[in-house]
Order: sequence, then C-alpha cells, then structure tokens
Amino acid sequence: MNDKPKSIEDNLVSLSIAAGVLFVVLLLAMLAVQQALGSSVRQLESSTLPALSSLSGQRHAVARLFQRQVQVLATRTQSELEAYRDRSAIDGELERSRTLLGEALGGLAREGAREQVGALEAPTRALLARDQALFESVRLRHGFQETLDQQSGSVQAELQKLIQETRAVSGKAHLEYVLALRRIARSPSPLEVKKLVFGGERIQREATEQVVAAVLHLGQLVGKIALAQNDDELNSIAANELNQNLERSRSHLRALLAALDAKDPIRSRAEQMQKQFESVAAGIADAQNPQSLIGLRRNTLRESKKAAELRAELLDAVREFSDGVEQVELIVSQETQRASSAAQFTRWAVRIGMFAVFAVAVWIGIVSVRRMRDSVRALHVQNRELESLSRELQGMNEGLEGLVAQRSAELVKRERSMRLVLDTMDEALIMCDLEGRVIGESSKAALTWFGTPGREALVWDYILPPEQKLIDQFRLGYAQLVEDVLPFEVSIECLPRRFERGEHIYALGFRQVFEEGTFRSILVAARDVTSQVAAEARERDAHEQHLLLANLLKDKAGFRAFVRDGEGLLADLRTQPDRDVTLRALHTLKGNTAVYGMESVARLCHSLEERLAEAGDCLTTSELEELSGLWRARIHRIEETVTTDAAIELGEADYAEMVHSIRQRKDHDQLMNIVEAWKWVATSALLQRLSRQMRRVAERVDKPIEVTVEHHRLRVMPGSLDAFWGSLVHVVRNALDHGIEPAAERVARGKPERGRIVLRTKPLPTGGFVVELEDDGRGIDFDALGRVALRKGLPAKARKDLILAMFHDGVTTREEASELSGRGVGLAAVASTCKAAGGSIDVESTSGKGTCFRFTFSGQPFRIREGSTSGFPARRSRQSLRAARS
Amino acid sequence: MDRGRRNMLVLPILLAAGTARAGSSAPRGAGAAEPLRVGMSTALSGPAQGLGAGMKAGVEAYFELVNAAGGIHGRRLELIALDDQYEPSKTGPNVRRLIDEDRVLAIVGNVGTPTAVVTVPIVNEKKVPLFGAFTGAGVLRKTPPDRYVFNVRSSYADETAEMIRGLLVDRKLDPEDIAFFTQDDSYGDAGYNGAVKALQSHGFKAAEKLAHGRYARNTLDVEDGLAKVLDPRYHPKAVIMVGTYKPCAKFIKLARKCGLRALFANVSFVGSADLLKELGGAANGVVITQVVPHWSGKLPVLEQYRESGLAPNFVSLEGFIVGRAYVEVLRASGPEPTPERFVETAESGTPFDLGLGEPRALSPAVHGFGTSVWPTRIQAGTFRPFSHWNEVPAP
Repeated sequence: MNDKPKSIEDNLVSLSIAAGVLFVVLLLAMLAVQQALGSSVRQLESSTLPALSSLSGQRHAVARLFQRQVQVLATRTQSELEAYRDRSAIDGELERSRTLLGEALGGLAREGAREQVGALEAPTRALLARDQALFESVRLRHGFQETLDQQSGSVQAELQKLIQETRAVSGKAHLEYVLALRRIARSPSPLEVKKLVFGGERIQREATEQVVAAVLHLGQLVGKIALAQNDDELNSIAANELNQNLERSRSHLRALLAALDAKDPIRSRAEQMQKQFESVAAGIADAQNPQSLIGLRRNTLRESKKAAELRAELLDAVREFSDGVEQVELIVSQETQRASSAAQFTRWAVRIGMFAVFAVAVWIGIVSVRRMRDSVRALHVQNRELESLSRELQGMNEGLEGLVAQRSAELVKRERSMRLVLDTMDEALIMCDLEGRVIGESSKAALTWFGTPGREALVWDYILPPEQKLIDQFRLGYAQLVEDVLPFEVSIECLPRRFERGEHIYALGFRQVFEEGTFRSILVAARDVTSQVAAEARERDAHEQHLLLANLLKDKAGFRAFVRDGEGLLADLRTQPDRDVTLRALHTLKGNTAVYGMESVARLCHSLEERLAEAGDCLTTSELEELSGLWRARIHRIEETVTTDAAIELGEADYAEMVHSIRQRKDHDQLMNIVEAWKWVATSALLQRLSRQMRRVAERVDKPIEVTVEHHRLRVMPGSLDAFWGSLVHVVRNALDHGIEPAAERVARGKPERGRIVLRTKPLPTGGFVVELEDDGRGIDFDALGRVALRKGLPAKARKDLILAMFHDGVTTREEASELSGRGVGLAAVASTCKAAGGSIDVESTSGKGTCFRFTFSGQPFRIREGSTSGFPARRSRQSLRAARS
Repeated sequence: MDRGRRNMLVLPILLAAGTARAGSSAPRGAGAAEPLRVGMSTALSGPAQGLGAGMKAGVEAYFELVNAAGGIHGRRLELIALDDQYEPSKTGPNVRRLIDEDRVLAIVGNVGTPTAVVTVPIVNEKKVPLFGAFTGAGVLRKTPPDRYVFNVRSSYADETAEMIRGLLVDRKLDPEDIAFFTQDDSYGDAGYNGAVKALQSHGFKAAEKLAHGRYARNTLDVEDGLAKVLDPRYHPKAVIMVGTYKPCAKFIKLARKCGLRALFANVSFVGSADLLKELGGAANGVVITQVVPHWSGKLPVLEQYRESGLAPNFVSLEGFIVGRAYVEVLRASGPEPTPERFVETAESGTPFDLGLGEPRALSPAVHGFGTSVWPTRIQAGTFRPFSHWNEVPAP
C-alpha cells in the first residue's frame, strides 16, 4: 500500500497548497518590487526631475539676463534703455528655480547637495548685482552721451551763429572796402589806394576770414571730441588741437576787435561775439566743468570703460554661476543615474524573479500532472479489480437455479456424457435455438411427457397442447425473449408460465444460454406441477372453508341471511332472466361471496361477468351449472354447521334487559313487547355486520377508514328487508371505491387521513324509518355522470335525472371494472331491492365534501328496543378500525 | 413684446456702431453738424508775420463768404491756424498736430519755402493734401508732382523767369547787367536757380559768374551781400531779389545810398505791402512780380475780394484765391469729403473756376493752378501793374 501513488484528493490538496504558496510568493514579490521601483521612481519624480527642470530654469534665466544685457548695451538713449529697466521677471525666475532646486535637492539623501545649492546663491547675487551695475553704467553713459550730443549740437549752432555774426560784423567793413574799390576804380587816387591797402577794412576783413576759419575748425574739433574713442585721444585733442584753435580764435577775435573803430556801432556786436565765443569755448573745453563737451565725453568714455569692466566681471560671475550649476547638475545627474540604475536593477530583478516563479510553477505543474496521472492509473486498476469482483459476485448471485440451468445447458452441450444426468432429472429440459427450434438432446422427462420432438420441431408445437391462443402467446413471448431488448424478467412475464396438457399441469422456466458471451440459445425447462396445483387448490379450499366457518361463527344470522340470499340469487338466475337482471344477480352474488370469504365463487362470478361483458349474452346452462355446483359444493361442506331452522338469538343485553324488567315487575304488556321484539331484527347488528364488511373491503383497497354506526335502537320486522340488506353491500363498496379518496389525497385536501363513514338507521317522526350511508369522500362526479347518462340515452338535465341514471343498469363512470365495483350494476341492484321492499332512494352529494345515500321506508313497521337505563348498549356505539398497512 | 425687446437690443448696437463710425471719420468731415476743418501753419509772429497774417485773413475771408452762403453741402468751413514764426523747426510739430489731433482735411495756405520743405514729407506720409502754400519753391513742384501737394500760385522760378524775360527781352539788358540778392536758404536758391535756368534758356551760360549777394534768414545783415553786388567788377543795371521785405528794403535803401542805380525786382514772396511800407519814399520804381493779379482788375474773384472788405493786398488776395480754389475742389468732392476723395476729385480733370478767367483743370501730372505772373511796380506808394518792362522808368 505504501508504494501506491497518492490519491487524487491528496494530490489536489498538495497542488492547491503549492499554488497558494506560489501566489503568496508572487504577491510578496510584487509588493517588494513595487516598493523598490516606487522609491526610485519617487526619487526621480520628486527630486531629480524637478532638480533638472529647475536647473534648466536657472540657465534659462541667465540666458535671458544675457539677452537683456545685449539689448541694454545696444541702446542709444536713456528712454530706449528705460524699457529694459524692469528685471523682475528674470529675478523671479532665478529665485523661483533656485527655491525649487533647493526643495528638489533637499529630497536627495546625498550629502552636500544642499550646500551646493547654497553655494549657487552667491554667484547669482553677484551676477544680478553686476547686471544692475552695468545697467546703471549704461544709463549714466547714455545720460552723458545725450547731454554731449545736445551740448555739441548747441555748440555747433553757437559756432554757426558766431560765423554768421563774424560775417555780419565784417559785412560793413566789406562794404566799405568794396565802396573804396569802386571809388578807386572810378577815379584812382594814391590816398584812396593807401587807405585801401593799409586801412582797417582790410585788416578787419582778414581777421574776419581767420575767425571764420578758426570757428569752422573749432566745429570740426567739436565733432572730433564727440567721436573720441578713448581718453588718450580726447586728452590729445584737448591739449593740442583744441587749445591751439581756441588760442588762435581768440587772437583772431582780438585782431578783429582791434581793427574795429571804438566808435563803430558794430564794435559792441563784436565784443558780444567775443564773450559768446568764450562761453562756447568753456562749453567745449573747461576741464573743471563736467558739462563741457570734453568733460561729458570723458564721462562717457569712463562709463564705457566701466561697462566693459562690469561686463568682464559679469562674465566671471556667469562662469562662477555656471560652475555652481554644473556642480549641482553633476550631483543631480549622479542621482538620476543612481535612481535609474536602481530602477533598472529592480526591473531585472523582477524579470529574474518572475522567471524563477514561472519555472517553479511549471515544475510544480509537471510534478502534479505526473502524480495525478499515477493516481488515475491506480484508480483504473482499482476499477478493473472492482469490476471483476462485481462480476464474480453477480455470477454468484444468480443463484441456485441459474447454476442448475447453466449446468444443464452444459450438460446438454455435452450430450452423451450428460445423458444420464438428464434422464435422472424430473424436469423436461429442452434446448432451443433462437428461432425456437428444439436442438440437441432433451431430457428424459421431456421425452416422457411430450414425446420425441420432430426434426426441427418448434418448441411451442412440441410441448404445448394444440391451443392456438396459448401457442401464439408462447411464440410472441419467445420472440420478445430472443430480441433481448427488454429485460429478461420482463420478457419472461409475457410467456405462459403454466399450461395444462392432458391431465397434467406444467410450469415453464426459461434461461438464456450464452456461448462465449453471445446469446445463442434458450433452455426451456418444464416441470410437472399437477400435484402441486392440486395441493394448492386443496389448500385454497381449506382456507376458504375456514374463512366461511369463521364468518359463520361470528354472525350466524348474517351468514344464514347470506346463504339465503345466495340461494335466492341462484334461483333467480335459473329462471333465465334478461341480461340486466342476470348481471345484477351475478354482481350481488360476487359481492356477497367476496365479503364472506367465498373467494372461489366470487372469482367465478367475476370471470362470468367478464365473459358476459365481452359476449353481451346471457349465461349458458353449463355456466349456470358450474356456478350452482361450486356454490353448492362450498355450502355443502358447512351445511351441517348452518341450520336453516333458525333459533331466536338473544344477546346479553337483551337478556339483561328482560331480567331487569321482570325484577321491576313491569307490566305484562311491556314484557310482551320486549319478548316480541326479540324476534325483530336489530338494525344495530345489521349495521355492525355492514361495518365489518366495510372494514374488510377497506383493508383490501388499502384505504383507512373510521366507521360510525348510529342505530337508534331500531328493530325491523324480520324477513321484510333481507334482500335490501344483502344488496346494500354495493353501496358500501361503491362508497369505498368511488367516494373515499386514498389517504395521501385526503391529506392533500386537508381532510383527516381516515375516511369517515356513518351507517345509520333512524325512525322517522312521520312513521317508518330511514337507512343512511354517509361518507366524507370526493362526492359524486355529476359531470362525468351526465356524460355517461347522455351516452346511454338517459335524461341528464336535472340533478334528479342524474341520480336516477346513477341507479340505472350499466351506468358507471369507471373506464375499467374492478373486482370491487365499476360495472354499473351494483347500484341498480340496490335500487331494485329497495323498491321491492317499498322504499325510496335519495342521494345528497357535495363535490369534495362527501355523499349520503338515504333509503326511506316510510310504510315499514319498526320497533324501538326499550330500557336503556341498565347501562347496556349505548345509543351510539363507535368502532373504529385502523387498516393495517402492509 | 418679444419683438420690441429685440429692437431695443438692436438699437444701442446700431447707435454704438454709428458713433464708432462717426468717431473715426467725423474729424475728417462725416457728420452733418461736423464742420469741415482745414489747417494752416504760418508765420503769425516774427519778421514774416505780415505774410502769415495776410494769407490767413484771405483764406478766412473766403471761408466766411462760403459759410455765410450755407457752407459746403450744409457744412461749415473752419480754419485752424497755428504760428510757426517762419521757423521750419516749429512747422513740423504744427503740421503733425493739425493732422493727428485736429484731423484737418488739408493744410491750406502755409507760408514759406523752408517751412514747406519740412511740411511736404509729412503730408506725403499722412496722406493729407498741402494746398496753396504761399511759396513758389521747386520743392513743391516736382515732376511728376507729389500726390498730396497742390499749388495755386506760380513758382519763384516762374517769377524770376518772367523777370529775366522782361529784363533781357523788354528792356534789352545784357545778362551781365543783372545781379542777385537772395536769402541764404532754399527760398533764395529757388529763385536764383529759376533765374539761372531762364538765363541759360536765353543763351547765357555763365550765369554763376554774375554778382550774387546773400543774407542770413531772419537777419538784416545785408552789408556783406551788398558788398558782393557792389564789387567794382560788376555793373548791375538790375538786381533780382529773392528775400523777405525787411532785409530787401534795407538792401534797396543801402544800395541806393551807396549809389547803385539799378532796377530792384522782387518776387511776390517779399510781401508787397510790407515792402512798400518799409521802403517808404525809396519805394518808387521797385518792381514786384505777383502771382495774383492786382485787386483792382475786372476778374470775378477780384470783385469778390473787394466785396469781402479786406484791406486789399497781394498776400490776402492770394489767400482769398487759395481759399476759393480749395473750396471749389472740396465742393466737387461730395458731401462727405476725405483727403483721398479730395485728391481724386482734383486729379479727375474737372475744370475748376477760380474766377481768374478760364477755368483750370488739374491732372495727376499737373498739380498747379497758376502759370501766370503779374508784374507790378511801386509808383507813388501804390502798385501799378504793367505788362511791358519798359514801362518801368529807368532808375
């Protein structure tokens, strides 16, 4: 047992444990992976990516700063410059990105990251401060330049005016000079010529020309100053050319003034001009005056230089800043690298882990499949063992007969050697092929009983008497057996099991014979059961006799009445009545005999009824004789016990009542009444008898009932209603057969399991009495009754019509007759006897509630038994019987 | 109810649209109640104020006449005049202000050539006509003409050409007998260049060698220029003067004092009345060419001018004629004139009656109304128009 593979259940359990463990491992692995991946991704998300983005923000801001500087440097005026003054956007961006960077790097575990961010702050501040300084420097330079331009413009205008003034001043002298020339041209005189040559006009004119030339040159110098590229150039211009020019201009102006006459009105204009020149000269060259052109230009150059320096510093600051940013970038990129390699590692770990889990799963799968396969194989082996065991058991269970048949078949097969065995058997064994042909040797008994079979004789022709019906039944049953479609036992049921041949009765048995597993032939076994049947019949007779006697002893008077009725009915039948009367008589006889246990007569009556129903004619003489014979034979056996000369039966109660009445010295008439009443028939006894019959019938139909007898101490005239009482059994049967439902149906309808029946006799206040039979069954099916009545051509409109129809011959709602009822004869018989006794019938029925048959005998005399004071029989007696279930 | 509400909704929208439209175009003259605004930047103070005031008075007088007759298509004419003191640096801002803020339909009757030099690029840029400026300079007379520049008067070149013709043809002078006294700027250049061209057309190639004295604008320093003219190498019998009345008057007086016996011929821009006043007794024989006829003539516009009640002079008469010319074109431009429509109408070839005889038509190639020059001489304190230059007595 230890080597045996584990059972499927075990394997399933271990498989599910493995799968569960695997699932848990997978879950844990996934959790671990999620944790690991999550932390690196979180780091990437929360620190490195924002850090990278803010670094790029920093660079972007610095790029914008540079762009702004370029724009600032490209401006030419202060108003142009003002457009770039607002730097808050760049400041904000720098500040923002640096804060973000700090936050992002704060999340990094790496040491020094925060310090690096802090280190960025100083270069950033320096950068911004220098930018601001540069802006201011440029602004100043623009201011100087603008002032310079303005100044230089106004200086130029002044100089232009000066030239104009010079020309105006010299214009007069010029005119004088020209007029002198004209005079000389007209009439030359030496004085005139001398004056022209040496006169003030000419000096004036020359001085004018030189002043104009000097002033024009000064204008040029002003342009040069404005364009001087550096201090050296400016200093050179100021120290050399400008000074020279100013000195020369001054001397020329002085010469011009000197040339002007003190009284000349134009002299004041010339003096004015001289002052004007000095102021212009100061505006140009005053070293102390920062608003002079030289000073302005110097400032401009200084600011330019300063701007260049600032720009250089700025570049340094940018470099420093860039270095800082690069440091931070390095850290961030290292962190990024680390995070992503962690993620990468986690991914690989996941792959490998998944692969391992998968491999384990596959391994477990393979192992489980193998184990399962082993288990299934073991199961197969077990199944095969079980099958063979069960086959063996079946074989064993086939029993003794099977074994005998088998052995017989074997004997037949081994003909000669088994001959002796066959001969010794008291069974006729006939082997037949599937067509029914007798094959092989038959047993000696067969040869003895049925003679030697002809060549290829059919078994049914061989063994059966020449009765076509029997032969056909055999043939058809045999064919069914051969077909082997229906179960063997069922097929056998269709074959005749018993038949009479000559004086003997044979019982038949059949066995299928298999050769090498194939159904090949049938062994027919016949046994002579003549003696057995006779014994059975005797046994039955004895049983019947016993039953009759028992009934006789129980109720002698009833039995006498039964015998009397039976004799009467037979007498009726002998009169060759019409068919209805015949059926009624037969039916009543059947009912009565069945009730009193005279089963053989009841059976005969039933079979005669069957035949009459089929043939539709009357009894034949021989049938009548058979029935009378059987009846006589049965009655004869107990004739000695049944005395036809009836004595008066006195019950204990009657007796006690009588004694009691005498002791009380009752009146003679009263005593007479009591005694006379003894001869009257107590309905209590009649009803009790009826109830007994009823209980018997109930037992047969397996319907538990509870019968209540209510007799009201009624006695009826002896002999007056004998036929009626006899036929009343039909109503009883009817009630049990049609009225009372089976127990299960009753329970389903909410009724008590036991059917309740009340048998009642009751005096009528108007005279006469009634006999009632009441049940709580399903009631009369008036619809079905109506249909049947119509079929029979009877009136069926009113309830009354239907009730009449019910008591008509041949009216039954049953499709098939049973031994109990259903031929539609019973009620007709009751109606007939009731009418003969001068009674009338009334039926009350409620569907589902029950039915009451009431027979009213209004003209019939009756007596009430007196004296119930002695405590003797109660007015009501109740007997119940529980029908035993078998 | 529903409909009514919708109309009430629509109405404000229409109103808003209407006001928006009116707001954008009204200053250029859309609404019925909106006056037709015209701008002027001129010398209302300084040495040339007589010119500016005269032009302004003339234009306003004619506008009054039109307004009194119900305006143009029911709309009043309104002149907005700003003072530029004959300084170009002030003219530019004035013109921009007139166009941008007052949203005038045109700049009419400005005085001066240097001022015109800065005005022309502005009106070309702003696409607003410069109409009837009181200058004969060539900058306003390009070939082909600027789209937005229209002239009523003849050019200085026309005037000096007329002088050359009169001197050479009528009085039979030699070209060498002619000297020049001009303002040392574009005005002076315009007159001088016109004369040089005329001389050349008369076959005299060495015009640059003629005596040419100059003076600075807005000064009276004429001596140096006079010295040039009086140079004994030249013997001028006539001096063509392109200047303003004060220096010119001084020059004439001084020249006479210095013994120069020559015919002084001034271009119209000198301002005849002021010159006359300035010269006083020395005015006799001074010639001034006019770009407008003498007010005493028979032409219809002269009658109108005389009826206007203005003290008659050539400047206000020119202003009056400029006003009439402008109104004629504006009237033809329809009830809702725009600068663009004005130019289209002017160039359409429609003849406009200026009341100077034959109606004159303009075209994209011709933007000047006047080609005539009317010479006058001062005789006993009055201007005498003449047709033959021999009519002028020898100095």
